[in-house]
Amino acid sequence: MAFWNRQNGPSSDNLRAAARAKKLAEQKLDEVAPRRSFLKGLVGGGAAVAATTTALASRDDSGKEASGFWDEFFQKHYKEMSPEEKQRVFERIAAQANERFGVQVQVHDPEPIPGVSFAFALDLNKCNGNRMCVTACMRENNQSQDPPIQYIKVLELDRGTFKLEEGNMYYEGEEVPRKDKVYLPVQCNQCDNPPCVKACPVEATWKEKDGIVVIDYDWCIGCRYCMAACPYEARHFNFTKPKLEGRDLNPQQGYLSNRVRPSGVVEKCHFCLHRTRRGHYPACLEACPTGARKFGDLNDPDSEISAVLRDKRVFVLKEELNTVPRFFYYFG
Amino acid sequence: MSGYLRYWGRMIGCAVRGSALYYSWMAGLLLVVLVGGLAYAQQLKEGFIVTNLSDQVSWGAYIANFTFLVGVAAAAVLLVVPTYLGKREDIKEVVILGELMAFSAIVMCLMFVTADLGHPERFIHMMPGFGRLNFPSSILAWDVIVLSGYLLLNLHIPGYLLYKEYKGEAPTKLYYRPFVYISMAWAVSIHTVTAFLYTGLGSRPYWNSAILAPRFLVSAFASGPAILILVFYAFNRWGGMKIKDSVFETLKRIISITLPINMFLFGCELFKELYTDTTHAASAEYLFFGIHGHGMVVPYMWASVLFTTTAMLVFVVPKWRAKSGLVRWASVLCIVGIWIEKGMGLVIPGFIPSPLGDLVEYTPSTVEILVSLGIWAFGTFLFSALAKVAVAIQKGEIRAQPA
Amino acid sequence: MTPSTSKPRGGAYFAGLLAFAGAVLWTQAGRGGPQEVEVPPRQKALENFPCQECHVNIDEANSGVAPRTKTHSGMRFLHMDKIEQCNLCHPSEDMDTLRLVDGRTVTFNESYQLCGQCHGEKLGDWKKNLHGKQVGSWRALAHRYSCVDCHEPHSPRLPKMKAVPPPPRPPLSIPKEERH
Repeated sequence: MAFWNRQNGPSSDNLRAAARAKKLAEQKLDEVAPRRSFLKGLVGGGAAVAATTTALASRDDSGKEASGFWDEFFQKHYKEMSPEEKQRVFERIAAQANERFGVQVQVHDPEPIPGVSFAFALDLNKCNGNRMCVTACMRENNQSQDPPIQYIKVLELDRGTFKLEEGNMYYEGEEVPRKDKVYLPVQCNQCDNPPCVKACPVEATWKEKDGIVVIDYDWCIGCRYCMAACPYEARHFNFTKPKLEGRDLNPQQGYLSNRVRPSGVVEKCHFCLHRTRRGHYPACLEACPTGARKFGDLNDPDSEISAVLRDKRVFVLKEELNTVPRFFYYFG
Repeated sequence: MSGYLRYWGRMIGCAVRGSALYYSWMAGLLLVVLVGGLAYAQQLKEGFIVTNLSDQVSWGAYIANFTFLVGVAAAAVLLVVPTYLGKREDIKEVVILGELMAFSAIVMCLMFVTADLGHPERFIHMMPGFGRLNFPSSILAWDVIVLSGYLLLNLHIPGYLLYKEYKGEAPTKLYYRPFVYISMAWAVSIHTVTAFLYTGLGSRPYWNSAILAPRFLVSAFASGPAILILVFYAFNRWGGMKIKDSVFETLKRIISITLPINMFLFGCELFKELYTDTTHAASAEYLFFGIHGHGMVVPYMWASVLFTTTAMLVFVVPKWRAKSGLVRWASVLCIVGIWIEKGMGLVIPGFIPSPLGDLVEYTPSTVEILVSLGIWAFGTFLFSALAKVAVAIQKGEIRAQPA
Repeated sequence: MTPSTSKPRGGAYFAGLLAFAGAVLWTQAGRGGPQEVEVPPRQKALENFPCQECHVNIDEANSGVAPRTKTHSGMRFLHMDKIEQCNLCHPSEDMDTLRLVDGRTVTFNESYQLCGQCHGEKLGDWKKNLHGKQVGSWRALAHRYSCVDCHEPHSPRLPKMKAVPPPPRPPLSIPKEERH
């Protein structure tokens, strides 16, 4: 019944009230989201805003794969596409996913919320290394199951050391936290001085106004220079076509975030931008049973992330590399 | 126009005709190219899963060979400088071969980079007009520019000189001399930029070293002449040429200087890593001693040390340097030693351990080996054909008007 | 004595509503931002609420010892030096409420106030969402778990968990030695 009796996280029915409240919150959010974009659309005068596309399954076009290649070949850089061109691309991607998985997929492109600057914080006193964030992330972001791609690496360190080189990310944990071990989850730090963005030869990855470093999977040439440049091992390469089951597919997809990736491109954590830019918390945070993860808007002095930075002693990983991360750690 | 077309026709005719030895040499190379092409087709179809690369070791054989070959291309400057600045007539006879070798090496470099791309068809994203080359921010963008530039320089200079020779006219200095001088600086730049590709990464302490560019240049100026010694020997033996001993002497003297400097610089690097013994020394330790009893690159690295040391002794001791048979073997050792040092010995340990301390080894997979061999064979094929035509033109066998 | 003693159900419900409104209000007042925070009412989640249904019939003399009935079986006391004085927090005169040390009573929906008496720093952190967990929206409506949603109040240390299996090692991975 109770959460403390369950092994599998907070979504147990002990938290009926919790679950209800959460559902309620999400419903209210969904009501809010389209209204906001509508208003923004009015202001922006037809600018591409949160373009939502529903792929209608059209069974008759068998030459889609072939024509898709040339469409992709001549597809322009994300920043150079007109709203109409983007719309067509989103439709194509949704149709491809539909064809492959038989799932009605929606490809959105939520834009950064003006004035919002995202950051993450993680309480190392709370994290017990259970890796539920890892699975939630994989499910949310349609990552390849085989070979598995995981945005979050949880390092197990010996108590008394913070030497990342000694960390072990392959620990088995029948019972975590294990004796005399501490846990350090690492994912994309969304650096403000990102070495990966500097390295990319074709501007396939860039920093958005809200601080998130994104990748245009249709522009990435797969040279993997960004992977060599990243000091946090945050970037992952699709060594083959991602293996996914239609029933596991998250149909709510962002063009720059969790849509099904092609083979031969690099991907990484994007703070769940398809969720967070619509007001939701990232999937890893919602899945964490210890409450170790904190997320919010740095520009809002009342946000939890501002409170963490103000009231706790925080640090970042490899600060000497001057990457200026947006991912903070603290001991709460 | 028709004359120019006939020039091309005659050159192609020269390239496809030859002795039985030439035919079997070229056919053998083509066979390897074919096998490599098939392996590459498999990689295209199935993705990089057919390689031994991983998220932890994201670059391997392709980039290692690329790095080495940029050095080979840059080494052409060692013939260009004495020819045009030192007025060495003996070297002038072979400088075009050096430039053609540089050209072939750059072609191989570009092929290796292309083989390393997850989406090779997206090369157009680098093209001016359509693409968005991240210049000047990305060192890889710099590399694309300097390599293309060097390719064009080494296409233009020998191309122009050979055409003039074919026409029986004296070349106009203005049309090639400025490019020759540019190419001297450019040769240094290609290898410097390639070194900066690694040096510029704060995430990889093993590469993040100021002496990497000097090491690259010096090792290129050792392995490049060693390749030239073997190539020139082959031309003397089978190519119907008589390359003067003084050319070999110069090349040997260059190696006798650059190889010890290379070893000295490498030693400096190792001292800094191993004596200071910070956590960053782990890469160097892995390279020479392995970690936790694992060390796929360890035998390679000790072989490299053994090879370059032996080669250095041969090139430095005057009595041994005089023996041409010994020098040829020393050249082979020098090439292989530096190829390991710059490939397996530099690219791979940069990834081990990974920034988060993960330990994943690397050794090329069969597909990677076949693709790499295919590209090497293609480059050799290209150089053989180009050199055969160039030699024929220089010897006056192909002329617009028979003399 | 609160009015809820005489009308346990209605009173508790009323108090729950008040607590909920209060929770919303303090977050609103404390933050000034647009974000709303809800703490889910605890009472509805309690299996045997209202407690008075049984406890009015239970002998007062027994209220000072650990319950041994089936209803409360499996309870472990690993809190505050294994205290078994139930009525320190559960007033025997009204088991539907919780008693603070100053004698005031609060409903189960505000149990965090009870916890906060000793764990004031944690309560302060919780109010700023620096301790505990909050889901939903970072800018609109969020739901904040109460202390007791994660910590069993009578043995609050979080139990060990089973970790999700690790990612497979790459084929050429070197296993690290276990250091002890």
